Amino acid sequence: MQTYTIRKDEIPKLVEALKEEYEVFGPMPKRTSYVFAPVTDPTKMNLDYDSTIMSPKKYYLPSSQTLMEVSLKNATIEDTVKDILDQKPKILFGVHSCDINGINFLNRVFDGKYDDPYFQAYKEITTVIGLNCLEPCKYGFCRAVNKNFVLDGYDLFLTEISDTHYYVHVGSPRGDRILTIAHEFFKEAKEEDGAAFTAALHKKHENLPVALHIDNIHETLDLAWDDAIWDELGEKCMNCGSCALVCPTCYCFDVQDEVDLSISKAERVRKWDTCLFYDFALVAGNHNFREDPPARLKYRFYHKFRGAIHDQGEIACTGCGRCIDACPAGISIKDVLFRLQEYWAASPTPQGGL
Amino acid sequence: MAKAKAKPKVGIFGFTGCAGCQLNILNLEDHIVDLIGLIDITTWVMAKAENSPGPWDIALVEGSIAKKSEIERIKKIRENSKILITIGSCATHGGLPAMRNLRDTSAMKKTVYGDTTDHLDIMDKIMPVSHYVQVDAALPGCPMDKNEFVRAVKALAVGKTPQIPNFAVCYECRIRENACLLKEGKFCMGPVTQAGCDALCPSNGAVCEGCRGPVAQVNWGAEYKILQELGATPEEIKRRFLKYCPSTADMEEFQELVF
Amino acid sequence: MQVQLKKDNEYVPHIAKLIKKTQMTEKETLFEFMFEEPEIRDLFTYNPGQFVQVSIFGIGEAPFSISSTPTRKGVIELGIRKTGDVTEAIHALEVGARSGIRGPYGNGFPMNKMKGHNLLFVAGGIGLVPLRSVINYVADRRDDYGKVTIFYGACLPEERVFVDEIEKVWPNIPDFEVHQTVDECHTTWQGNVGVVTTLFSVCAVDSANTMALICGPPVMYKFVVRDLLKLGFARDEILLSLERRMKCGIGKCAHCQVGHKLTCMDGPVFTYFEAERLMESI
Repeated sequence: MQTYTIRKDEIPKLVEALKEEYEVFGPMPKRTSYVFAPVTDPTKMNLDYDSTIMSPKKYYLPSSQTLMEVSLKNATIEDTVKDILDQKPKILFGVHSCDINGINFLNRVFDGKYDDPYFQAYKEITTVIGLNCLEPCKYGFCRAVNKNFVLDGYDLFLTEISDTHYYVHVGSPRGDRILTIAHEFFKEAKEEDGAAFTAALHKKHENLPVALHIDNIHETLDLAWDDAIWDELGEKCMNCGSCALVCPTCYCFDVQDEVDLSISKAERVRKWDTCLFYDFALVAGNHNFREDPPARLKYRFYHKFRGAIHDQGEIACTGCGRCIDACPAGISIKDVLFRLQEYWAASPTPQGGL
Repeated sequence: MAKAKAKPKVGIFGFTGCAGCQLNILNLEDHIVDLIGLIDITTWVMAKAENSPGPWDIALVEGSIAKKSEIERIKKIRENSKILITIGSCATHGGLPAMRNLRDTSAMKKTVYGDTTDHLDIMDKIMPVSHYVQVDAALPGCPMDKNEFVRAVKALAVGKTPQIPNFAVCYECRIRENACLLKEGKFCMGPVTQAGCDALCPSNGAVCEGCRGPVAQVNWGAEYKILQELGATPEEIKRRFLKYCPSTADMEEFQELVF
Repeated sequence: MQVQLKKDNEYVPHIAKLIKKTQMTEKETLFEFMFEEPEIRDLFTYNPGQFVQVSIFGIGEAPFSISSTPTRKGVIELGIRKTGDVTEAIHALEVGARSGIRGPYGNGFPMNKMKGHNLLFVAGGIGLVPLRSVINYVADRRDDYGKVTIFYGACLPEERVFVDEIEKVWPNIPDFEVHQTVDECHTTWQGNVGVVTTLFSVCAVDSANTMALICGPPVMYKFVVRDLLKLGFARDEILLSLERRMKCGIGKCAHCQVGHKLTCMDGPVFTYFEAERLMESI
């Protein structure tokens, strides 16, 4: 399989060249942090970014999205899938492995018996240029959850192999197309580049921490259902939902109808929702299946680390650490997982074995 | 299918407050013509020369109840309205005027008016509208959010109850991709405050002052701890918690806090 | 084998016309809808216990169990309680009005597995809505199923739904037995008073070769299940229809997640064996 290299200082020029055909989004500075945003000035895009406030899930599942428009006069319905497909194709530039894994997870949710045509349409128009993390980020723990590498879900994938160059893997025909459009920026990789890539992978594995082990997390959670930890966390948690909103795998949504001011047209809109909100499990007649705030926080952990294994075949956490950064109460998912690991270690084992 | 009902008759009323919410309705330049297409404003002393004495399908009430005469007035409006909606934090929670509930009224009267204060029709406690009459929906905020107001009018026009979000400002703040101000050491009230303002203040780098009042199932204890760890004094925290919604002081969980 | 209506966009409803409204109680009305397109009318079939999403455009969408039986084709009957914006808007619909319906969703009751068994129905309030679909299905395919016992409880006599069928139709079907109860005593009420489980002492239930189908308010399940287990019902002979707030109906929005299952996809019908293993299920 052919691999390539690209000079780091040519990235702005590459972005500029791609903007003809694509709308390019990448990590752009915002106050004290970074956000994925349109790359208006390619010299401002920073591929050495630590993390972004929100994951790129917003490009597949926007926080507020019109699903269909209905004429209230004659009840004709027009869905908006075509509008998505008509958009200028997008490039997400510099997406870390955790976030590519996040998109892959969402894809499992929005695929299945019933396809979600909106998600699939966004996937159709979006090209992902991934970026290997060789250094740990401030809050991340991707290696502990096996999300520090990608198997698929990228079109091109960059790995830093020196102060001046990235190594480039092509993951799809869509990625190939970029090489065709902007071939002048890509050089075929030489043997020494391949060796530098291997060295980079070794460096990554040395750098990323692995102290956390979650291989028996769902058994641990089964045992810890009645543990005091949930009430303790529930007391700190304000159910503000920040963790779920910034999470690359949280996908819960609400659907609402909105009418225009002439009351002639309605839009059916889906908006991000979170299981931490009071209304989430409320049913007609005002019965709430998770009335108490600690029950909602606990549910979120159980869904992520237990329920998702049933539904999607893997935990719903990429170890990106955004929720740790976002939580105003200082609750850290990593600390909770460490506590559960200790809980497991401390649980009594039968004398003499089974 | 949702159908536009016959244009509802609407009255807009001001009580004790700054009239900023009513002004905000006038400031809806982009939408005001469309809005008038949906509702028939029969009473609005601030904006109209001729005003109907009622009845109304919808009463929009701004301001808190501070004077005895206002109790009678609000009761009369309630009797003559099918739906009563408070607009702004004064009407919904007591708002800024009710800050004086935390002080000695007679001393304040004396400072402002001197020794002759008998003519003043002021009650000791300023209360939200809901203290005196039933309120069907509330659009809090200081001032009331224009977009939320438009959404509420549209909802009413198709016979829906106007809904305000049942979650904290953080939802809107995260979606606008602001880094958390509490994490930057600022005394932000976002996590304990009802959303609906699209996180206007934090999105401009200013902390949430809590003007929309407490969110459902508010966790005062957690916010208290965070602010304390950031260096806020108990007095400062108390002032922030009670600023727009003095009735917070009556909440059980609030009373457990040590100020 | 059910013929699935295959759509490019499962979120988009089909247009259906309201063809009849029958008020049952102060808050509950039975609505009969018919799809506008004849092709969909023909293809649309369902399993008793499945639900549909009904749209009142501009107001919103909400899930409702189907009360009619697929053995009587043509219309979809929905027994709906007035409880929020969408249901109020449905109640305000005039005959002939157009709304949106998509579905059917969920698993429904295992009608094949239930063949040859005696059936005990325990319904509380509007919990009779999905069970009525099963009861009439069984009535129409009488030879496939054994003896039918129906326990129905409501808070007040005037809050009972499908009273005509409970009192006049079902008791006259061979091997059908119907018992009713109300929570609160009423001057003109001659029948049993007490919660639905009190009917277990009124009518002896034999658990042999019997499956129990339960639907009612959330508080009811625990007590009914407790009594059924005492009577010797096996955990997989107790079938529960759970209520959750399905928003999408197709396994995406996660509002109806119970433990690791989705009520809209894996349910709403669960055996007690399954439900017991789902955290917070009942």
